[in-house]
Amino acid sequence: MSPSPQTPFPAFPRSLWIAPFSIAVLAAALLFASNGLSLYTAFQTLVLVIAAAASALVMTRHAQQSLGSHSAAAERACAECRAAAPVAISNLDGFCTNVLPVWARHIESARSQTEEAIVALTMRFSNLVQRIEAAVQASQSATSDMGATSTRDHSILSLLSESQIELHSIIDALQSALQTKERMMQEVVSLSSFADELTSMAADVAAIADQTNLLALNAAIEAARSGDAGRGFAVVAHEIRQLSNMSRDTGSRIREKVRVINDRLASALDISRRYAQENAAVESRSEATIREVLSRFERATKGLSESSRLLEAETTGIRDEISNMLVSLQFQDRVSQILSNVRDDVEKLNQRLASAAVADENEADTPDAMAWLDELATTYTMAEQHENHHGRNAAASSDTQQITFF
Amino acid sequence: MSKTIMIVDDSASLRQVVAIALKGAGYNVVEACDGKDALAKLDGTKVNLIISDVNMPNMDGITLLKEVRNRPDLRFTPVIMLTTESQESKKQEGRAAGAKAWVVKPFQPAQMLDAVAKLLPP
Repeated sequence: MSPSPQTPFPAFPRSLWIAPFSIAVLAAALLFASNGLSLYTAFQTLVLVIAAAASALVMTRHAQQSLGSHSAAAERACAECRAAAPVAISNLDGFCTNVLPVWARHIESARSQTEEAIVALTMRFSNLVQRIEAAVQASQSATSDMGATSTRDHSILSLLSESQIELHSIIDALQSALQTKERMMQEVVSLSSFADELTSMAADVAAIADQTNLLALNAAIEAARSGDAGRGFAVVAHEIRQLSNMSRDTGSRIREKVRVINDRLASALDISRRYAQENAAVESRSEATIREVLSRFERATKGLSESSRLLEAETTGIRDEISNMLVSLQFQDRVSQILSNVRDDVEKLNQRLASAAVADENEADTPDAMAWLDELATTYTMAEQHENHHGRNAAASSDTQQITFF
Repeated sequence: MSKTIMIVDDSASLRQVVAIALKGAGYNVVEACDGKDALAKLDGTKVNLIISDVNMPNMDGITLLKEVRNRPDLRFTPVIMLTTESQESKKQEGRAAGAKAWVVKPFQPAQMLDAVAKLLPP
């Protein structure tokens, strides 16, 4: 604040003369009115004027003395103010010299701690992204190894399809085996019909043997009748009877063997029929089981494929989210620049005050605020710094801008 | 053979963010913390593109750009400036020094990859 200019006090102020002289004039007028114009009255009037002048002089002196003492007090106060101002500025310098470095250190500490934390955070997110990327690639690689095709769904579905074909071929093989057995059974059945024919033929042999035996018996009788002449023929007839007996025995044995064979064939046919029924049931159950297994496998595969796709989509989503978070972490760079500018400016002010103190300890060198702010503005790099500088609302710039190509 | 990109920025977190985007796209990445560090590393490394900040200690990005343009082996290496500077005058300074593109932070990795792909055709 600039001191008001001092006005010199007048040595004889008119206001102090008016009262005594007015009383003196009034008193003289009363004297002239009551006593008339005379030498004595003129003398009294002169005395009154002298008294008024003396009174005025005394009052003036008093006023001068009083005002002089007040003026001296005021001057002393001003002198004290003038003396105190450099001291206050000097104290402010000392205050700033001590406080500003602390502020600068705090700002730097906040800036560096934020930077360290964000760098650590970024590293961790970066590691997360890499691990997720590796997991996705491993999953894709594993699923693509399951089949010749490259995509997971194709590989699993083609595996399922191949398994279905192979298992169906087993069912076909089983059915083919059953059909072969059926044909064999038909052959066995046809063999049994041959057995009947053989039995009939054996009966025919036995009948022929009986007829031959009867014939030989008749021949022997006729030979006996012929006497010696028929003795040779009797021998032949005897041999024929033996042969016919042998033929009958052979026919019996054939019939017996055919019966045994027929029984065995019937037994084998029976067993084969039972086996065929069992095989057909087994084949039917196998086919049903295979179809059920394939169906379950298909459902499981579809479920696995769906969950795998969901997992992959979620994993990719998480990776993208983390990538976006990494983008958001770019705020640290902007905050760091703002804090660095403030820190540098605080340090600059401190250096300025320190150098001014060294140059002249008694005379404070107060920097010009506008020039200082203009210089500070030249260090800004971001639009929001300029907005803040001018006191406008500076919203944090989180929106990305277009790239300028030259 | 994948191409190599140098990232020059005094902010380690920002280098990380750019590196993640570039490595994800299959590029090799070399990091430098300021212009001087970048010039030292460029002596022993062949890079196909440089992404540089503007305001850095020791040597700023515009000075680095001028130094790069003065080196015969790097004269035609494309340089993208990645900075918080959005003033037109600063952009024009970068353009005059030989920058190919000007990206203002914060950036989207996809945008950056597009810019890199434009300047580094396969």
